[in-house]
Amino acid sequence: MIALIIRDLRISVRAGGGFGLSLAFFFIIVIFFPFAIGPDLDLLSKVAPGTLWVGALLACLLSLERIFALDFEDGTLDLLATSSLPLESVVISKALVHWLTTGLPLVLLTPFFGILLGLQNSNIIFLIISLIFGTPALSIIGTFGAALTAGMKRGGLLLSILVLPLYIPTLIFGAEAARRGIQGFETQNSMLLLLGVSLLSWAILPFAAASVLRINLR
Amino acid sequence: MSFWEYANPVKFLKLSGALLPYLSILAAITIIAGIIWGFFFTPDDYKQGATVKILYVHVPSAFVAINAWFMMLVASIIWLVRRHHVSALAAKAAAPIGIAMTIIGLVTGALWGQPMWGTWWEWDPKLTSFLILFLFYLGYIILWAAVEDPDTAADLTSVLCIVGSVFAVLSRYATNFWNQGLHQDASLSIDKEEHVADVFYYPLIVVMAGFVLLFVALVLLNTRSEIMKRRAGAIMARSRI
Amino acid sequence: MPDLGDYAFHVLASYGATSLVILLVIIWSYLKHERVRKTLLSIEEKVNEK
Repeated sequence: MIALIIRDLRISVRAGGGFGLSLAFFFIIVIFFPFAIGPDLDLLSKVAPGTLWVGALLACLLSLERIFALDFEDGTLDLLATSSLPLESVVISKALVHWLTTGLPLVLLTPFFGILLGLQNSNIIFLIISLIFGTPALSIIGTFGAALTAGMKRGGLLLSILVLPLYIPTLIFGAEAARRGIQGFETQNSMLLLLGVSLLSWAILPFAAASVLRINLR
Repeated sequence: MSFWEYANPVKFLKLSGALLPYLSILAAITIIAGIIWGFFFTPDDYKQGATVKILYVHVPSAFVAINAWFMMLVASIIWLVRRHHVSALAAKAAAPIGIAMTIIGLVTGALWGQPMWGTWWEWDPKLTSFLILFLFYLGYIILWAAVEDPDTAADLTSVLCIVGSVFAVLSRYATNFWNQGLHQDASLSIDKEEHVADVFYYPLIVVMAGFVLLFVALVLLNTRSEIMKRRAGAIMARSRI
Repeated sequence: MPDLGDYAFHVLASYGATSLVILLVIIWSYLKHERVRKTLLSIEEKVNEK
């Protein structure tokens, strides 16, 4: 399992692995919001948590298709399925690698993007915590979606349509927690609920994703 | 005689073909009777005026929209556990009806909301979760259409239906929480069903029963179409070999 | 016909929209059923002839 994680991490940072793509995408979305809304920093700071959350979500979505597509095409997935490693662990490692290569860098870059959108230094911490709690859920839900569409030729658009509704609870709780924190309200409830969604997803979705992968590999 | 005998497609076709005419007539009579009762013979609400008559189409369609998903969930689980093809096809057949009922619920809700709340759309938890339900139906139907092999499609959509149910329930609670957070002191209750007077309640029950009958009839009809389509495909494949 | 007052449009439109969507679903289901039934019958005939 650890070997698989290291291998996937290596592939993703290698040229053509698309490691930087979703980060660049996130960056562009964050820059585009002021263009669309106007340069008013007061207004921007109000929509900043929502903007950054939607940006993170879209950046995640963009990189989902690659989770299984390449391994499915060249037969690596068949080998993994017949190896002694349970398919559930394969799913968990894939989701973990996805989070390490998209979720974690997004969280680390958020302070800078928050400044661009007019957030005060002390408030950004709420946004960062909500993203730390929420992005793992985005990764595992997305891995389930990628497993569903693994066998399809043009799965990309279908993948977004299937995955986006599943992202709704995470988005609502995450953006709510960030917004409450920034406006100075109490955030404990929404943070805990967000964490709950994350943990629930990590508890049930590896099994669902593995069963779906088995169906697709049949 | 057990219920599972009708998992046999031939027996299912025979029974559903015999039942369908009666079921459709019964559904039509119940709906029309309930609507006439509700529309012509109930008073206006003292607060809502004549708009209360929208109740008789809004609540039944919303009721069927939610329970159609529940029926799909049960049928999906039966398919995954017992591998009865009729079950998988029944789940597929229910989805378009469920999405149609969701659309009716949303449209009549907007038409009711405009005079009562002064807006066509409000990000009220119930309205929002209905919109989310619509998205889930859409994803389910699109996934069915996207997979060619019927058994693979049935498996994949069943798993999606189960996972989707979990997340749909989560979304329902999330929207409750979220809207509370948005307007803390707004008390916009659309729970009219719960404190509705008997005058409105009895015709409403009749229309709801009619909508359920209509749903069952349409699911049977669509399931028959799916079974016959599968059989036609199977015969074609066999005769070519 | 009961007096609908100011809300005649909203009430009638919601009933109209409901009947329209339901009719569309019924017609769509029925036509699909008939089409599939006919194809199945013609295929069965062909197979039996052979």
